Amino acid sequence: MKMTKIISLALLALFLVSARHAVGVTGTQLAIQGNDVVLRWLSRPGEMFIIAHRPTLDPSTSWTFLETSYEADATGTETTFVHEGVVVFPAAPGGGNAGGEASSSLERKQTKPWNEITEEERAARREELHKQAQEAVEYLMRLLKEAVAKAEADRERWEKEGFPTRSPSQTDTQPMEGADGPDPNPPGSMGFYFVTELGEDIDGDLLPNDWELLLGTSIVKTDTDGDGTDDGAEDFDGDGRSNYHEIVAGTDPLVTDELLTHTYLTSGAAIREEFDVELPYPLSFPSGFAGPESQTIDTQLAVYGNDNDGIGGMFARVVTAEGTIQMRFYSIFIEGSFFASPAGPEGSFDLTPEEMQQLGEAYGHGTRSRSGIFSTPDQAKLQQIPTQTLEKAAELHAGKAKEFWIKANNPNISTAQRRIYIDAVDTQVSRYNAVRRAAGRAGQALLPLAIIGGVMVAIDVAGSSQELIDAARAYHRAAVNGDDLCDPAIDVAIWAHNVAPGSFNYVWNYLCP
Amino acid sequence: MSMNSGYFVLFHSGGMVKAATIPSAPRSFTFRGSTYQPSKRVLTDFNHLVRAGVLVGFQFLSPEDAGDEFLSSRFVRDSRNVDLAYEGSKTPILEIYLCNREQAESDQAAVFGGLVFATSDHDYILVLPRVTWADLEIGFELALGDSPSPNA
Repeated sequence: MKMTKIISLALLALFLVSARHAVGVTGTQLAIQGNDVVLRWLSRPGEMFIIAHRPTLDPSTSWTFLETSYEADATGTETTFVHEGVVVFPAAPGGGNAGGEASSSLERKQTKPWNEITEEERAARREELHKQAQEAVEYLMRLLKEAVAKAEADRERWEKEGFPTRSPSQTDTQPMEGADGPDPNPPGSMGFYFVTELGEDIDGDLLPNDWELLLGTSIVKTDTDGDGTDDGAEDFDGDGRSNYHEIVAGTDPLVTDELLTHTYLTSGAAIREEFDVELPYPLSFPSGFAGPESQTIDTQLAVYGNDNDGIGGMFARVVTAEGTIQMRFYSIFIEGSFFASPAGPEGSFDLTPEEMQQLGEAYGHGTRSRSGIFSTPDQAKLQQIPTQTLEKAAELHAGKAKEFWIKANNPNISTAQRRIYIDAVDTQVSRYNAVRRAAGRAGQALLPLAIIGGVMVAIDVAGSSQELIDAARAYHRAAVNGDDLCDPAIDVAIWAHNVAPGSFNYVWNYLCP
Repeated sequence: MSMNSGYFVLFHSGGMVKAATIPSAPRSFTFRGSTYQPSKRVLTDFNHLVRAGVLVGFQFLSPEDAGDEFLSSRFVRDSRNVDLAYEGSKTPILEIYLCNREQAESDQAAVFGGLVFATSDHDYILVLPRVTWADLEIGFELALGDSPSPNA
């Protein structure tokens, strides 16, 4: 069991330390089955995902979209995707196939169940597995050195020559290196993966992934064409409204003529009263909808918080008085004041002082308390709190996590302020997950935006390579010696977090399962 | 693990925010002839500003949660020891210093449970769980007289 774990951890280490990662939906697991890569992540029926793959370390290499609308498993809570034939094991020095041989050897040996072999055979198998684990780790360390060396070389080159910026078309076709350059796809690579929900905004440029695909912009670059304007702030059709505003308003960002003009003043006024916010964009109706002047409107305006990214989308549902429900979804751009109070339009989340005290007693400290303790919520105390309270708290923390993440991504704030916000995200996510667990709803953990893309950036930038090498070596030693992996894993996770803020939990969970 | 040992009461007086302590959160406050009722808006969690292991103030990452009126209130605008740090953001970080602010830093403790009490004309009192741990000492004087009276 222990050796199996070591092998698994070696593969995990290969997954992490060799700088080839699956990133995206938090909790996405990667497994290697023969030459296939199997991705598995938590999901809910009806969700749609984008799955992309990049075969090399080089950040200028384009992504290949394996799926752009991959449906979540319709019945379960987990979705699986198999990328067939992508794992290519290298030829080991002196012949043979290092990784592949190890795997196939392992598979052959394991055809006989563990409980059916003798103790001597088990000992021999343990020894063999241990040896294979060592070889695997040594191999991944070689890969790591190559990756880091390349990243350092790239960085030095970029510092001298400027960071490469390329158009999407160039990105898709331009080879990464010349014939004499480093191997863009070193042996043993399975590449980067990411899995993300269709409606997510993985690069934080305010354009959801599905819209990025439609518009032809990169879903992982905020400024695809490198002109200094984020994709969301661009105005592709030149009608005076940004792509982002057009999307949240429901108009086509590529069609100049499609622009909201018919202002629904009555409803607009109601909404202003209801939500106490300014509507910077005129609210209008699509053609075919008569509008409030010719209908009796019950004007039940139900509010749906945008649980995709918290950027500012909302939807109003209008119900007619005749009993015929006309579901009309409008995207209304709401200024930051609403999302500054993510719990609800009144800034209230209905927790009583008593409930807040209960929760406070259970939460402990945040991410970086002066006591030096990274405390986690007291699960036993939380389980004594009524479910309704926990659900309200979960809503609060989900909103706060998004709010802090959005604030952390403001390019204008100072580094110190950004770090405070990022740590605050961690705290909110920790509390969210804790109250959800206490409410018996584990498995639907919040997918913090902070995590998405973090590790990928970490590897691309490789800004503190020596620290990573040191941390990886310590992790390697622990794996080989069968020591506790969590301790050295912290250093790797911290390294990743320092380079790619927000990636700590992601890396930590992988290395210290 | 945090331990709640009462509450800090922060109130505006004489151009400064001052602090007092109370054992439990009240239903309301009476202060200078006005009644401060609990607001639906709260300041959920907050950090301590610490200097050399001494508590010198409080930090709120989302002061806008308490409403625009709070940000433009006497409590915030007219208090010499209250800072709104925007640093490029549209939404500020609110910091209240109750003594020398030099070299103070946030402990990012994210203490949960900050309550807001307000009058109808938007004057405010904040009630913050008094969380103690390790060697964190209070580095400021607590107001003894002329402070809000809690109403049970």
